[in-house]
Amino acid sequence: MIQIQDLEFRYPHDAFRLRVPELTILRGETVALVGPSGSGKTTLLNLVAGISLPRSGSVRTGGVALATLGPAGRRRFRIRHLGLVFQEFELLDYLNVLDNILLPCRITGTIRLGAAHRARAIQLAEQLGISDKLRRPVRRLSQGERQRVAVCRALLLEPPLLLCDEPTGNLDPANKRHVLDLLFDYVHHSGTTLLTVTHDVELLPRFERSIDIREFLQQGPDNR
Amino acid sequence: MSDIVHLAVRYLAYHKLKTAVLIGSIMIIVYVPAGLTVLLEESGRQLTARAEATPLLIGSKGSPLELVLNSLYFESNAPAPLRYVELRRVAQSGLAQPIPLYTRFRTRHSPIVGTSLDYFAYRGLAVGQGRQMALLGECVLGSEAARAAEVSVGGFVLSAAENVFDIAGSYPLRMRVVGILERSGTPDDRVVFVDLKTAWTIEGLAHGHQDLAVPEAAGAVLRREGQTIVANASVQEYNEVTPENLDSFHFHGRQEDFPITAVIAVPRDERSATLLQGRYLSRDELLQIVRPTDVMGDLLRTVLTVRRYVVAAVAIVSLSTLGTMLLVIVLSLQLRRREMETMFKIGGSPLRMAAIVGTEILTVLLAGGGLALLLVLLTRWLSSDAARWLVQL
Repeated sequence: MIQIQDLEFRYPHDAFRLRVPELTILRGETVALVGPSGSGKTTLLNLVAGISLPRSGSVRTGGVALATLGPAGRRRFRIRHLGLVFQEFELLDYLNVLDNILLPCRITGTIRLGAAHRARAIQLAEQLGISDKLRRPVRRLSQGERQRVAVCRALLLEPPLLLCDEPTGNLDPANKRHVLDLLFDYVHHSGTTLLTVTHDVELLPRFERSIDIREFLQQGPDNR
Repeated sequence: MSDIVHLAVRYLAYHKLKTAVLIGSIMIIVYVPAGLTVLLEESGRQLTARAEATPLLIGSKGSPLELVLNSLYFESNAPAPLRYVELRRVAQSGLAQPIPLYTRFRTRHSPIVGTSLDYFAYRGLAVGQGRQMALLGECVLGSEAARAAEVSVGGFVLSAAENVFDIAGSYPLRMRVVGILERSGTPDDRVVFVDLKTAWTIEGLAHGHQDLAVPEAAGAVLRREGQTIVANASVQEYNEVTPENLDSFHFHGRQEDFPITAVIAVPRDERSATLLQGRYLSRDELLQIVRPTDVMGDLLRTVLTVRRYVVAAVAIVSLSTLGTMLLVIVLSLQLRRREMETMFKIGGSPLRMAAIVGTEILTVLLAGGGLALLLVLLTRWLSSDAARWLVQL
């Protein structure tokens, strides 16, 4: 569950300001976040993930007020409770597919990479049709394949909340459908909350709810 | 820890060229001063050891360094000769045991050293295969000389012609190999040893030819004047000493006047050494007597001074290279900012990310340092030839 109350955020030395008086996303809900470029969708995702902190107001993610946690606490929270899919995939070119999927287990001391993680990574790769490319460097993959690797990485630790920033933005229709099917299948089976930024209005019917960030623009003229 | 190493190694393996350049730079920075030090120390040790084992050297006046380098390492140009009688002068003084050296000639691969059997005893050289030389025209090879000439006991080596355009000059002498010395790890390993008389035969001071008194040689005789027979160029000269022609070899001139290049003088004691040195101090004296340790000490002091300059220059270059490497690492970190941000967003610990980068740097340092260490060990292993290399310089 995500609860936002009287949130205000602004970047230092920037006129941009985001105000969200109230927003609640229930556990297991699938929500699309839409709005024009530069309106603050990614910023809102970052606030929900605890990557950025609000200037005022509160953001409770999974019942935890992330602002009350220290930086290390927020990182631990993200690795254990959040799955993140980025707009530009953000894969590490020097790693192969399997290593990219397993990356969350290698970059924190709180999770010990084990056989179960490897098995889970291989299972996800099979589900997304990239199991034959596990040892291949990600730079040799197509855009669609790279995005599927990014999705596998986000789902590796079975997070209760998935935050996706245009996860299908660079995919062809077939791949788009395939990735979304996997995401929704996972969400429905695990009761995971899904918050996705998208520009693709065709996808909106698949979500239970869509939030147009322009609704918040009415609250303040300098929102972005 | 294994995850950190895994990610660090993957990164380095992916950026092969950059990694190789960094490792190579570290290797050079570490190796050049360390290798130079090892090389010079080992060379100095060898040079000093050989010099310490040779108490006094007598030779014609000239460069003491040339005399020492030629007499100890057989590499430098042969110094001006002295007469064989000088050896007797030392012997008659009773102050030292004289050992002659005549180093003017070479085979294709190795120097030829004419000496006496005393030399082998003095240097502690033992015959490993075959026997010691006994007859004119026989030779004993150092182990490396035998390998270079690809010859074994019973084989032959040929002295090199001094001047192929001098038709009146001496012919190359074909010498029978009767023994090969055990390896000593000294310059003696590279030498073809012959008896002094064999060396003089190479020079043409002794020679053998067909008997002109027999009727078969009548065609070669121009005229007979008492005991003297004058022959034309068709007389067959021998270029190899065999049991059959050994008796025909004879010397022309007085042995006392025959040349040698140096005399190793082994004094009975320090007092004898001092007295012997005193005999060569006269201004009119045409010979010099030197202590090889003093001469090599002067040489090593010069070499060490040069080394200090080289190390200082290397230090400056190393500093600038380290600066460049630091810049490469900083730029690399800037290029990886997005990668670090991604890891941070996912939940990666900054400490762990720093550890990954630190491991990458440490791996490069260790790889470069390790390679440098291997090269230093290789240099140490090969440094037995360092003295020769330095002498050749």
